[in-house]
Amino acid sequence: MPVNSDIDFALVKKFLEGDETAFNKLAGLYQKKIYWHARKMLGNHLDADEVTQEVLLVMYDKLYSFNFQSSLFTWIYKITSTRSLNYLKKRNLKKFLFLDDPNVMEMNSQEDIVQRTEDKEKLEKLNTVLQKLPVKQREVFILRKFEGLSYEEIADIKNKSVGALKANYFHALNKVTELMDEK
Amino acid sequence: MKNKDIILKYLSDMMSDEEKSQFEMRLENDSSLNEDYQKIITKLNLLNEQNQIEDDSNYFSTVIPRVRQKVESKSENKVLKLAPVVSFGIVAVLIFLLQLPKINQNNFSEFNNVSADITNIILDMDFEDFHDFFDNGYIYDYAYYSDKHSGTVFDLMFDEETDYEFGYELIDSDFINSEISLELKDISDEEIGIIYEELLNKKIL
Repeated sequence: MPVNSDIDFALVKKFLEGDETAFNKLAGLYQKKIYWHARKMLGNHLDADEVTQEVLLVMYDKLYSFNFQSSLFTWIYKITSTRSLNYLKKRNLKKFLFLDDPNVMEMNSQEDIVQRTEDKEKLEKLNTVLQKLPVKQREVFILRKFEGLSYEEIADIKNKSVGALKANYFHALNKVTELMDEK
Repeated sequence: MKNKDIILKYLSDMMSDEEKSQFEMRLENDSSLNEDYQKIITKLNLLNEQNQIEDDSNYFSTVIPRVRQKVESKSENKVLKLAPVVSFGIVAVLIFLLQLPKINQNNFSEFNNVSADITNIILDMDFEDFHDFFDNGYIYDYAYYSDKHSGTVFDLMFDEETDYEFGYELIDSDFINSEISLELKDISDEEIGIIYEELLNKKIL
């Protein structure tokens, strides 16, 4: 859900005036949302960690171009969405070229921010369903179901019509319920 | 319409206000619809439950320092940054490689030289020339009129009898595993986009 815009705008202004600590505060406010969006899109910790850092770096570099017309929340989600999708493309390309490093894949399964066995199992089940959804459906489903965004907010982030997003969500729901029957 | 379709339409907010009221009324009176609705809601609640995960807060305290470190090293290395055209050349070569028929290990070193030459040519090109080079067949002119290399590699590249398994045969070559894979690690989003679109256009992916 959107964070308080007034606080966001004040922090952006402070940062643009040269207050570096304001960036840390902004990053602190959004890093979990960025991480978990990327994590659900990409399905593992290492990739999500990479995307989280990339998004924060882009924020640091591009905040000067933020125009204060839309919410910072939407702006950050746009970056997170683009970065996650690009990461998926890159991963598919590497897979196509067989460039996936087996050592990295091994690390993927070991390194994680989820420690409790019960949580790991829950996440694995969730991941199994999400990763079987087509990318567009997965993204809309995550944004609406787990991040609680309205269709209008998602439309703003994805630059798509509300009607198209509703159709994506409908198909995602259909697939999710089928997949859960299989389990 | 099946119960499931109507329920999913309702949950996806694809109904008008009137349809919604009708659905809600039917839900109260139609036991079969109600049963199916409850099943779907139970599944979705289970997903919500699976989403309640406790994460390691120590991890999040490490993210900002790591980003800061990257910001600093980025500004230190700014002067050393390579011109984008260099990476673009590698991207172009990658696309080129993926279009080639199989090259066996015996031709590898000569193939490597040819690739290096083609990379140099591509580095001097703008985007339009690049497309001409591949899409309008200028690469064939280069191949047949170049006197720098023996015909062996080119014969293999353009032999009509060759089984065109685009890309796959090259994937194991040392060239791909060294130069290209290194470049791919640092490739920009723009470049990924270019490669991806080209591979899709050429029906390689």
